[in-house]
Amino acid sequence: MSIFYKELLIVDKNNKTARKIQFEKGINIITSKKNSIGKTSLSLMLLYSFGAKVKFSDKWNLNDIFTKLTIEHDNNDIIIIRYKDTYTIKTSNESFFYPIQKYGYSDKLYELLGLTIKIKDKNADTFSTAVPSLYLLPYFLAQTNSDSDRTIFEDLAMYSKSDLHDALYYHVGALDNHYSSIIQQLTKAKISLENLKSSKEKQYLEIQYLEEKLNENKNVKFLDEDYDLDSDIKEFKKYAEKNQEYYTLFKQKTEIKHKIKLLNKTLSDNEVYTIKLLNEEEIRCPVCKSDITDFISSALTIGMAESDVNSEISELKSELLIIERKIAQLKPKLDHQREILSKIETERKNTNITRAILVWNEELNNAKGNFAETQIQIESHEKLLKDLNSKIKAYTEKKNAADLRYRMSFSNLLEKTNIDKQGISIDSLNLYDSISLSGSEIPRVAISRFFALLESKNAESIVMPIIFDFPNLDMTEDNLIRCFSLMCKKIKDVNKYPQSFVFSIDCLERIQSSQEEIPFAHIIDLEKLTIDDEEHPKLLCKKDFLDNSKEINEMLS
Amino acid sequence: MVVKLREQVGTDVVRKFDYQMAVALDYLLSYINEDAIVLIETLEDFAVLHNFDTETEKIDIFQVKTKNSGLYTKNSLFDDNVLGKIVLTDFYFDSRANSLNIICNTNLKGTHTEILDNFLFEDKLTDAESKKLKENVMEYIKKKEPSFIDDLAPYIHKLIYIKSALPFSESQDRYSETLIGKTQNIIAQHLGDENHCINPQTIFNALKIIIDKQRRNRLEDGHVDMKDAIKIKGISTRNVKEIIDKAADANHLTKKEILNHASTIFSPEEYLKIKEEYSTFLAYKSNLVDKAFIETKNIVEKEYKELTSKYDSIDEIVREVAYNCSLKISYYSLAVVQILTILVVFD
Repeated sequence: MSIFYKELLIVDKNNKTARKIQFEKGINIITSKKNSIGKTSLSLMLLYSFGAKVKFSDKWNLNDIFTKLTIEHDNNDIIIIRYKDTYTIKTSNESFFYPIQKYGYSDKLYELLGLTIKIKDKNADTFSTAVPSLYLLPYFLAQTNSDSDRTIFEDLAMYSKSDLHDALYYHVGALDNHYSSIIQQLTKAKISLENLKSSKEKQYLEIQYLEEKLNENKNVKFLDEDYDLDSDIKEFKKYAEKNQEYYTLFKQKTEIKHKIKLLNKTLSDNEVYTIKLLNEEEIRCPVCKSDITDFISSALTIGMAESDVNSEISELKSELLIIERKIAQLKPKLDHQREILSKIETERKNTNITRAILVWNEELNNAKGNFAETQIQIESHEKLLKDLNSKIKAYTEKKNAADLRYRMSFSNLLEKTNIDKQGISIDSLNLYDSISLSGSEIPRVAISRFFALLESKNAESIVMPIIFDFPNLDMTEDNLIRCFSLMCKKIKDVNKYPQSFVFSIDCLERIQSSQEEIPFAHIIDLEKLTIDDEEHPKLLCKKDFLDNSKEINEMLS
Repeated sequence: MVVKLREQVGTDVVRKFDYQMAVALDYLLSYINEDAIVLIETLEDFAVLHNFDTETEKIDIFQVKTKNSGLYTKNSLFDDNVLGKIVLTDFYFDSRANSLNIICNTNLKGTHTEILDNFLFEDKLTDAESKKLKENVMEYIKKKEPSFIDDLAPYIHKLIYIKSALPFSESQDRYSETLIGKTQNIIAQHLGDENHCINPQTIFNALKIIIDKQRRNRLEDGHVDMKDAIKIKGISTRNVKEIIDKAADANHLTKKEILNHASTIFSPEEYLKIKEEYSTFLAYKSNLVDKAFIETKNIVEKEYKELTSKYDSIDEIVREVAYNCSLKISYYSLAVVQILTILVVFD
């Protein structure tokens, strides 16, 4: 499976400038005598137009930039038009528009290209399609002055180091399309196994509880017939009526007692009055002086009052007596009724318990069934986990093999680029691990690692064009020649590297001095292209904008 | 006529209506058809003055004795100088007493003799007993009044023992009941109406109060004019009749009559409420200290006078008066005001 970049059109719609460049299969050399003419920008544009988030110099205002990348895959052209984060994918018969990358662009592109790397999402157990940067990562060597040159891809910061490693294992064929699904299955299986185990525990407790309950009530006599509810209700009603009657009588009793109390108070109040009368004290009507006739009147008044009150009291007392007798008669009846009720309640309670026993037995059977079911499920899950783990183990073995290949290749290449291996513990290195180095060693190590990684690939590996922005740092002539020699030897093998891009100043001269030959290379000398301002050369020019105006208008619309 | 009084133990002011007074009242009621006066605590416990200050005047003197359990014995008579005291009283009374009576709630038990009922001492005592009696009396009198030189025989001749017909008990309920029954008969007799509506208890209560009043009145020790004594210590059968007559005049609506009126005037619900609250009403009405009731009664009377001219139906007047007044009187319920209105209108 190979992908080729065929053509790249870059448009600055604000400045009305553009650049259209065609590429060839095999080796493409992009060179110039001068620096700052746009080689690095062009290399980054190849990444950007594919969908990577890369860091450009401040000269570029990406808000005005449209790119149109034409790639060839299985003899079919696919066009990707990017403006900011919007993408249009065009094939010979279809066109898709994506207003934002993460909503479908990657999925569609990879579907068309047959790429399927799935990477675990950060902070979640889900997997999703990898961003374009992850596909481009191993195939791009930046003009780096630090050891970790992947920082050029800004959007990779969201992945953990181990996930990035996994992405590289995909590239070298140690992992495949099934890996992510197996990992997902494994995660799922682990979670459901845990759930099953905890529900098994709960079911066990439930069984224990139910068995305990049944044991507690094992001596309960079974009542298989229900009591006559209506007759019971009648008894309850009877009790309520009697109770009501009882308390009504009680209330009446209290009221009568209160009345008697009131009347007795009148009598005692009158006693004071009588004493005043007897002492011939001055009192208001109806008593006057101590004439016996008036006194008789007064005494009669009191006598009347007293006799009225007394007769009322005796009436009330007789009423009270009747009520008390009624209460006394009612009390045993009420007690009897209460006894009946408590008997009914006890019987009802027993019925409830026997009903509960039936339910508990049923629940116990269910619980035991569930327990067995859970046990079976746990066993099948454990088997699944075992299978998945063995698959993972196979992957791990493949990864170890890839690491081994990588280490061997890396160690070999370090020698070729003249790096002193002392102090570098190569044995512990995994794919693309960075090594802390400094100064002029950095680009040489980077090149070694770059090709070591590519060397680790096998038949199933993903193959993308390699983009080689040659480091422009102060290497000794000898080391520079070593690096170029290494590079040329590698990229000449077009079976292994079907398309490669080398961006370098004085590239042809350097190849020559490394005593290597690159026949059939497609050479793009940027200085020979039309440039608007020779003094301040820029990658884009007005001429290309005008020459491709039709295509650009189509693209912009 | 001035008589000398035997020195007596002072009367307890707060003493209740006791058995002595009950017996006195019993005698008063018994002689209702005669001109009789009961003189309390002047000549012994009481004296009954028949046709006082006339030619046919007859005076009986009574000493009341009670015994809670067992029978009264001759020995106790001697030990307490009961007979000596009553003879001395008669002596001071110029021997004007017709009889000297010892009334007791039990029969008299002799030392050797049978249980005795009402009797003249003279008739029932053995010679030895008579002798002992005379000695005992004489000994007491000589001690109290050395100037006594009379022959004892006429005095002994007057001595009578009476077993009281009035049942005795610690509480006054039992003898009060008997007396109320007697009062009821007297009222019927006096009014010549068997079906009179006067509550005998009313009369009885009034009599009790009068007795109490007379009892509280104090006589100067020593000599006293009989007429004065009667004025402050006496109750006559005339007084009893006067009370009955006044009660007949002031005849008021009975509970039954009030409720009867209420049932025809007010709605059934209101009637039930009235029936229920009658006791409360009575407590207010009978409480002579309660000025609020008198005030309310005045308001109802005023309203009644005002409305009388406006309505023809008396029932309607009662209803209107009651409703109007219940708006003005916040401290009594509607039922109480309604009863009061019935009382004002129909009584």
